[in-house]
Amino acid sequence: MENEEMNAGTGLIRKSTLLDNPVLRHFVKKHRLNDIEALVLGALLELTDQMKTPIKTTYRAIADGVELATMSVYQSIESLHRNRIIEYKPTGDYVHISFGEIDDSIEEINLAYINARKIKRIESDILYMKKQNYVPSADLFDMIYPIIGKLVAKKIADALRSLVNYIDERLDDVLSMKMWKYRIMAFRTKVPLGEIILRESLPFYIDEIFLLDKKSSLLLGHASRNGEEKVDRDLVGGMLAAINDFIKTSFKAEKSSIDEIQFGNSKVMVTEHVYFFGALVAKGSPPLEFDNRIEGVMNDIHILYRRQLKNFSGNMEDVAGIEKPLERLIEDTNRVPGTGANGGRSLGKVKWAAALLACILAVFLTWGIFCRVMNWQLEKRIAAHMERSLPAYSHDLVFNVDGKELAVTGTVSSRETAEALMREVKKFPGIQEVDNRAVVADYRSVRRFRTELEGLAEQMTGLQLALVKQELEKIVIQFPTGIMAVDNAQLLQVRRAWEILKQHPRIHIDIIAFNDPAGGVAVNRRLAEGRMAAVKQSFVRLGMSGERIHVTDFDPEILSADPRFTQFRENRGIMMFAKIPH
Amino acid sequence: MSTAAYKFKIVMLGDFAVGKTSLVKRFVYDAFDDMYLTTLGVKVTKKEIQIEDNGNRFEVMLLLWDIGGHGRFSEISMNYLKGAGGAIIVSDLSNADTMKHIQDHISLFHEINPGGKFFVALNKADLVDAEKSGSDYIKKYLDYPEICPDDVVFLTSAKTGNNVETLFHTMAAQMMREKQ
Repeated sequence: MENEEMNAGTGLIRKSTLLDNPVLRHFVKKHRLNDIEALVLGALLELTDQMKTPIKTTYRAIADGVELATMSVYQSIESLHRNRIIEYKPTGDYVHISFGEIDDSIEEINLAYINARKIKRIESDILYMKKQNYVPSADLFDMIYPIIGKLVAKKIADALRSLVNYIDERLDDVLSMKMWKYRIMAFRTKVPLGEIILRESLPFYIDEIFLLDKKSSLLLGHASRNGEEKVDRDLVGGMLAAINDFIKTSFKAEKSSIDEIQFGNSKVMVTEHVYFFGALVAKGSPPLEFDNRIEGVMNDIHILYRRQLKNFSGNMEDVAGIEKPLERLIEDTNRVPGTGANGGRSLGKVKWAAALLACILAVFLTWGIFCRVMNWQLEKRIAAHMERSLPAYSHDLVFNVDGKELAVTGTVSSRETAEALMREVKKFPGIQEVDNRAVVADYRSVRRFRTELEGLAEQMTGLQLALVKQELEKIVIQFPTGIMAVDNAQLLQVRRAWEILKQHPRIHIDIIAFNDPAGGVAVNRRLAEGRMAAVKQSFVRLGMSGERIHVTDFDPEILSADPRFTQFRENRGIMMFAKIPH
Repeated sequence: MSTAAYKFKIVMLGDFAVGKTSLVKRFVYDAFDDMYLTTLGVKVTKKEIQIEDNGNRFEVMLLLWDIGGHGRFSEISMNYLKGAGGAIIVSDLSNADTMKHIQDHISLFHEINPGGKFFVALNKADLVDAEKSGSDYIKKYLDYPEICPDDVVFLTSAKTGNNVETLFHTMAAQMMREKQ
């Protein structure tokens, strides 16, 4: 039966080969399909119009089409499904079959097939050359270039473009501060510079961490970046354990502190401990110190839970809280720059630096306040001591303590007091240096000096008075007969006098009126008093205090003895005499 | 994260095509593609159940490791057995050859997990007649001092679902009891 089936199948395989279907050949080569699977796939490609239309059929219908047993068709379809070539869903007696999306486009597959057919033509020549150890000459490249040259050129161009972009980016960095930082890191850690740049350039973050019991592979704890639970962690954990076992056993991988399984952009980093192993699902290149950080977290967990884990029998209460260190590791590793992967560390360092600076400032501030208080207390003690030790009223001093230095300012009455001051200051052990700026001042000398100054000042005032008197005597304010009012002529004289007087505010003036004898005493008295009042008022108007102006009683004889009066005996007017009131 | 108070790893052992996967499928919702089983030789599924014991109710999670049964056990498969709290040895009641290998599977399981709890599922009970499902027939294959058929042997049918729930619940309950 089996032979019959195979014979029939073989006949059809030849038939299927004659189909000359590039897509079929693609799947056969890619998934290493056997003849029966290839035959069934060829039939399905035809039935679905080359993958375009899903179909609903029965295993028997397909089996009849390809002349195979129904069971063989069923197994082939299962296999095609496992290889992710087709999707199928049985419904009652029927089965729905469709093709999933494939990575390579139909056009690319067709192109590859056409090229393959061209290569086929020169296959025998290549085999001959290989057999003869033929060194290919330029002729051969010329010959095969039209066939594969375009593909190769395109790939090389893409690779070169990528390389140029990469070099451009690196050159931008080559003189930057960052580049120097990387160089120092490379020198310090002995890690190649390129590796450090790559690690620092790619962001690194942990998606999930699984902590699995080493014995049973049961999930002990789990933490994820965003806390979402899209898939069952217990199942994923179990499968990770299975994959880890599979890889280790299949490839006899060497033991290292952290093993990695790469898939797509992500990787699983597996770290083993005595009773458990951790599996980190991460993206990007981890920073240099990351291995140590994982080991640190795992060691912490080991220390905290080793007794429970040693005898772990599935009771989850024994390992309650075991996920906390994992959550912290994710949080610390994934911190975004500026909020706290790279930048988080930087910000953390800045925070630490700021905290340290604040502590230092606080210490300095406290120390400063403490010193100031101590200095103030010492100043008070020194002042009190000096009050007791130095003679009363012999000093007027201010004490300023700055650490071990004392500055003394003020006055002392004698050199003896100054010497006593220095002796007393030295009794304070905390004071090592004294800056004595106190002035020695003898009170008797000061008093004498002051008296001399006062006499001098008095003499100066007398001198000033004499000068003012002399100037004022030159000014005589004359009035026309019978007139008391101050006119322009009189006002001019008043102004002259005021210009002198306003320079000497301490000097007062006596105003004295004189008259010719005509008109009688009574009339002359009235006119004299009226003229004196008018002059006084004019001084006041100019700004002179009225208190400085003293109007005298009219006396016809008052000026008879004054030699100046002789020339004004027939006139009438006002004279001014300077004086300093007592 | 599951809130189960207890987690147990149970391995499914047995010859090729005895129905291990079908039993698991019947018991739990199948979350993974069969490809894993083909590639790695194992497929992990889980089921959370409630167990009552002495008036107390416990949430128990069963992690079922369905290990591929192609011929002899490879070194990889041996690793998958490590740490299992229990095993379900599955055989096809309609296939006498698979019945003969039950003791081999039990020995293998005990070699890796000395003292581990195991149950025997004589599957495809729906396909055999009364004679082949009778105790005399079963004892012919399970007449070993380690096996007390009344305690650990279940006639199951993944097709009809007969005894499947009972098998897993009984196993979980016994494992719980041993932990108390």
